[in-house]
Amino acid sequence: MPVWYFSNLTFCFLNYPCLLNNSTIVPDASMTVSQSSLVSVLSNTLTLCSRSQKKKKKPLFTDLSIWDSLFLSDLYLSTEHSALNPKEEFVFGLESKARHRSNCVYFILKLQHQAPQPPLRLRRKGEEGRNDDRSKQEVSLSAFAFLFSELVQYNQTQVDNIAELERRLEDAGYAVGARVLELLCHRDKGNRRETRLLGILSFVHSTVWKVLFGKVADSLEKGTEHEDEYMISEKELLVNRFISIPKDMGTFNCGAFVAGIVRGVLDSAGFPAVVTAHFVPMEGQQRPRTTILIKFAEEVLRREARLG
Amino acid sequence: MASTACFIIVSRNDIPIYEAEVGSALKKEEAAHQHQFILNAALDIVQDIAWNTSAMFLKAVDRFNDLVVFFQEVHELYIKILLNPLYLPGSRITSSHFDTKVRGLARKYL
Repeated sequence: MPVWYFSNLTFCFLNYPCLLNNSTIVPDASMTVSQSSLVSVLSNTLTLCSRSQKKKKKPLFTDLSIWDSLFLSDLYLSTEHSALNPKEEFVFGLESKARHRSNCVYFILKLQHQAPQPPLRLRRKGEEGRNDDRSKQEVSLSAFAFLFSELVQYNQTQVDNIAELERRLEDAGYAVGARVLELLCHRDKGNRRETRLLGILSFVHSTVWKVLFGKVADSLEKGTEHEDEYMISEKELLVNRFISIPKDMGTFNCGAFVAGIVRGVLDSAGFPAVVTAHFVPMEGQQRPRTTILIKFAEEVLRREARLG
Repeated sequence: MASTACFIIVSRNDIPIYEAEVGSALKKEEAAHQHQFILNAALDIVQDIAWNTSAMFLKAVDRFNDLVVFFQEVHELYIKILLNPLYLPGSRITSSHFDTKVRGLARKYL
């Protein structure tokens, strides 16, 4: 059975009707992936789509879970789908449910048939200096911003109220957090787990933030009112940079996605907590600061007390 | 001489998500109960010392040093499974490729 690995994550914006008719493609001008690689992937995709239309096989559409792997440049998918030709490239994407737009966001993931000994290694210690490795780990900000906005809009059409929307964004982030923890633990920390509260908090505050957003979080504070509350603050969350909340949405914060990531990391590490994102207005500044509030469960505090 | 090794990956809340038996087993029914018994005993030991150490490999249970590499390799394979966006963490691992790889590693290191 062939095993499929995702090797590159390429974004592109296509006109939906054009995809099937083999006509003009308009890639986003601000993207940083190389034009030639984009064109080659697109042309292969179009061939594949037209071929599968003929064979009456639909491209595989997935649910929101594909968004989970957004931050991870090494993706892995194993499928036992024997109908796939090993040489083909495959379209794996999510159709935007916002009908007023005629565009769809597709992830075009180049699948390659791997030899029995997979060259994909999770250890990157000796490879950080190489330029091509670094470029594989970066994704253009505009592409991500568009993707995230589509994620929010897709969820908006599925729910009736704000609380549900926040919960969905959090759940999307939760899956990312669980995977990020395992990956970082193996890659950067040499298989050492965090067992103490302060340890895991500083891990989230520095390592996780650095990997996801390119910088450490602005501050980590302990709550004054309650023993079990901690706060990670950021002047402007990356995910919120191109989002403005209309007044009728009240206190909704798209940082709920990041709160979900933090909850995923903490939960998978064994520190169950309730994590929420809040806007905190700052004097003298136009845009409010975002604070991720972490409230640990009882058992975590008990265990901390026991460990001394 | 029958030498079997039973390798089980257990997720949180003690739910096994992957099992593999390597080697020749003469009596299957007895072995199954024994494996469960040993597994539960091992889990108890692990739970006790899990929160005192930040290392991943617990020497109390692992008496054979060459098993460390085996565990590391399987851990890498598991992370790759986990990175699959369509895999729900904590559910059974059904990939036959994973199975083949683990058995290959088991044959190599056990």
